[in-house]
Amino acid sequence: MSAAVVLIIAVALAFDFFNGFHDAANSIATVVSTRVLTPRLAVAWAALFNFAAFVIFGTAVASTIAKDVVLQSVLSNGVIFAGLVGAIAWDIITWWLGLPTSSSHALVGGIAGAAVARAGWKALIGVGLQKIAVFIVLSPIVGLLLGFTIMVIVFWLFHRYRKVDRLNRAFRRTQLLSAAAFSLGHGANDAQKTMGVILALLIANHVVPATSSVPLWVVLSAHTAIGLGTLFGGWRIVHTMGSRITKLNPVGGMSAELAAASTLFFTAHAGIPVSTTHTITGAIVGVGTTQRLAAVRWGIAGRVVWAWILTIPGAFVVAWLTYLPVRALA
Amino acid sequence: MRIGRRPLFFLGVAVLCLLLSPVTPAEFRWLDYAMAGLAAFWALALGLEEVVTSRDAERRRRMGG
Repeated sequence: MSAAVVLIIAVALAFDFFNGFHDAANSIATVVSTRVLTPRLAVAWAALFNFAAFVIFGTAVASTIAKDVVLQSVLSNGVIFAGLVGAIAWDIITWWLGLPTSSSHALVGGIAGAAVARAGWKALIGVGLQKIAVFIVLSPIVGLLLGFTIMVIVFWLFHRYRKVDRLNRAFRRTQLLSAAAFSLGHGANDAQKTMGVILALLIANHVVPATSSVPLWVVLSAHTAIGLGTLFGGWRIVHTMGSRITKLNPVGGMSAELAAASTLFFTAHAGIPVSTTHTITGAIVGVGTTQRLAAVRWGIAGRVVWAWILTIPGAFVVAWLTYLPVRALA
Repeated sequence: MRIGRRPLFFLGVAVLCLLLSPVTPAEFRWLDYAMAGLAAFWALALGLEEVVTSRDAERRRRMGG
């Protein structure tokens, strides 16, 4: 393995770390805003289950990122490096602005931008990008509808129960489980994207054959990086997700996390790279909607939607610009 | 009789799901239809709830008056 490959793998793991830093805060937003766990404990809880995801889920999402976004013949060290730089730069900009955008779509936009800079628009794989684009819209809708449905079912089941304090305590405990489930889904979906990038790099450099699955050391290092990223950061975004979109109680937090976790389990199984941020935002809005539409702060939710729309083009442009000096140097 | 915003919101979500179906890969199109069905169900349920609630309120107002 050449020094360049090792360097790019280090950059990919740094992206994974930033992904944890930026996105994984979503896993703990509801559990912190409902005061079920202190921020420090919640972060450790999420990091643990981010890491544990590798035991349960396969690597279908990694395969999609490696093989279904751009033509494998276009992928080179320079393209992958520029794509990662574009995605990391976009993540840092949006983290600084406190916007919960998607690291996943930043990565897709980054790789696509660098590939287009190298080989033109024909480098893109339309079918793979179409699947990713559809789920940009569909994953928050699924989260929203499941969040609303779970919340209504809980209301139906417990509306005659008079001991509200005892009920709240019970839901605080179940929220620990739902937060763990969401962190598992997040680890499964987001860590796999980095695995996909590293797999593409290894294939491009003929370290592994084109039909290879993800090597175990790649799986373990990606999960470690995202777990450490979760452990280190993301408080600005916790604030937006946990309390500014709608006010949550333990029941609402549990319902939102269960809805988002179910969506992420499905997409991880189906090999669709979706945004955990999109999904949990949709679920939180769905839970807020059970009270009334006015319970959702649509101004904040709208700002989040704009950040989603800008993510792929933003990372695309940064990666495209990064690839130009990389090509000159190469 | 006035229909509130929530049934219309869920109706909009159902329409959006159906609009997505032509561009969704065939293997996942069932998800569009399932979500459209779920959203339509909630639009209907919330609409009926509002009709019943407003009738009850009207009846109570008449009895009180």
